Amino acid sequence: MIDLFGALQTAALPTVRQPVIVGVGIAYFLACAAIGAWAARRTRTSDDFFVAGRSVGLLPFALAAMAATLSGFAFIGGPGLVYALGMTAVFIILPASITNTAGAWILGKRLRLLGEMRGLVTVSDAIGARYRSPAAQGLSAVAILVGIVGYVATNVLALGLVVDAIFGVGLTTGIWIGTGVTLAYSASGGILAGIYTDVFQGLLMALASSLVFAFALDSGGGLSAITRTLQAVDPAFLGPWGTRGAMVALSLFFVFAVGSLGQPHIAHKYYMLKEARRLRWYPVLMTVAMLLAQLLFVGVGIAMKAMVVRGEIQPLVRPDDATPIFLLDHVPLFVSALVFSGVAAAIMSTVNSLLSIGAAAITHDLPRAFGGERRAPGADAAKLRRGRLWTVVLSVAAAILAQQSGTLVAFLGIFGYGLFACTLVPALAIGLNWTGATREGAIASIATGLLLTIAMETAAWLKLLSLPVGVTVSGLTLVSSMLVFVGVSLATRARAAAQLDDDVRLVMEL
Amino acid sequence: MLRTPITLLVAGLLAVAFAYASVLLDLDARSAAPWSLALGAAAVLTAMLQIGARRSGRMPRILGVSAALAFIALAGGFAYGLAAPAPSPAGPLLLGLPRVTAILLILAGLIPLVGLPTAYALAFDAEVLSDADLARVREAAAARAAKAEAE
Repeated sequence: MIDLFGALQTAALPTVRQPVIVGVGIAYFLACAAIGAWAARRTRTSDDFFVAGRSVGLLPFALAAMAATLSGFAFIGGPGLVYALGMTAVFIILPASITNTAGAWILGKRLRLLGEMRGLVTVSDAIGARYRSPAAQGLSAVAILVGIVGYVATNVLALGLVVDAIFGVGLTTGIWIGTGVTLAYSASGGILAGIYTDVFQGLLMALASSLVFAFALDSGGGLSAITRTLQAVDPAFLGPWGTRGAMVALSLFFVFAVGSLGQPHIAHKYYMLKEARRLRWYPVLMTVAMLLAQLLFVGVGIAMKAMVVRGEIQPLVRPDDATPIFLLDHVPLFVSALVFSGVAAAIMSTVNSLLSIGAAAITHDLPRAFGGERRAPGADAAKLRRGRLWTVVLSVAAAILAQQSGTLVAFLGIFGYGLFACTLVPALAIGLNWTGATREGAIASIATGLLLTIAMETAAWLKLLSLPVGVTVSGLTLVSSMLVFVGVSLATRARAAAQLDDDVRLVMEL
Repeated sequence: MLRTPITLLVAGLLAVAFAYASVLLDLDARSAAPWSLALGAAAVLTAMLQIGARRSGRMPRILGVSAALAFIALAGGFAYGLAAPAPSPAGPLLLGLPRVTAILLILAGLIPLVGLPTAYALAFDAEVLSDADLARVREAAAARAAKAEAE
């Protein structure tokens, strides 16, 4: 199987410290801080903090969703994988052809309407309302928290490496600078600040990626010339499945296509859209934004490989060096500066979204699941304070964790995506659309996904479990939890109708 | 009760499970694993699109046809990639890529990439969410809020 540990950013990048890059980096961080300060003044309630007051327009909504979907992996690890594996790695982003629309089609409408109907603020809220089950809500919140801890730590480490590469301040200082800036706007302005920094960050990512793609094609004399160069030495590289073959490519496609419907930091954003009928144009906008932002993913990897084959550059020591070296050697300095800030932007937008849902899981879902929620006067102000406090606690914990061994952080991060997928896709993406689904099915599938992921990923990390090429823990746990969900729901289907409130049924039938 | 999409979903999941199992257990059927995974993944995604498109147990026309076409494009693209001979160094190019790769990307990438958002936007009023639908939701929400206040 692909070494996804290697794809996670855990080793130092080449230092790129140059006055222009440092200057653009400082300007970028100041812009984020300014947007955060502006948003903080508009954050008065827990609704503002967790769901941006349900007031986000279509364009910022689409850009924010794109920015949160793409982490630094799209700019560093992804191009490195393309450099190493050719077309195989493209199957990580190919599912976007479906998922840009599937998110709105399968999840968006019903989550948005249910949010308006019930005043929901988290993805776990929707699970609780759908099945009338605090247990399902609490269990899904636990799964989200388990996934977030490692996911945030991995991203914070990557952010520290990027800050270190730009400013040359060392990894530890880089981690704290990156965490500090992200935390400043996340804790003060919550997701409202996150959304508007995402807009800025999303535009930066799309612009930077498009420019670099043009330079990448130009550097190799166009796509046809690059293809001919690569085919001469390795026809499989740009063959339909890349160097690792069909089983690996299709397995990546399956996990990333279906798994995208269970990513809580993306699904959560549907609550924030001001007007439900604006969803109509969301897939079109999301498609354009994602297409532009992912051009770099493909372009840099194949351009660098072609340069190595032509003998213009030495083979890379590590695939992850593909983007930094290409930027420094083949792109005007100002564009490089934009891209390095774009990488930081991609990471920070993901971290902000994850911190927001993590704080919401602790301050909202778990009290609701365990009966500790207060509805007294002043409770909302207290909830807002707790939200800010837990955002600080989670980010500081992630920053400390990120300084541990790279392998440990990679291990914690690797199962975040898979854990979200196998615990949330069945209960949320299928359950919100299938009236035959039951509470028992939801709880069984979440528990199955949670336990199997922890057990199998731990066994794999400890080298007690080794899977053959083409089989992944994420794929196995996703299939298992979905089959458990359908099977248990069918076995308990006599209870399905009684578990549905009338308003939830209305939303599901529209 | 969504029987057809759920059946398709289960069939797709079993096909994916079979693909993984045949590799894990090194079965004789191992060579069929990529085919099983390709068709299974396409079936699972299509079933989920169908489940998401249904309204009151009915499959709307435009979204239903779009989901079916998405299956044909995905399964067709993957099947073509599996069945076609591997590209040779001097083989034909299409859009700057080896022809097999380009056709796979057009079928499994470009067609759904353009077709699905277009179909969703075109069908939105009639098959996704109309003003009348939204009014019903808001009426129900108001009734629920009034009931909660009375209690």
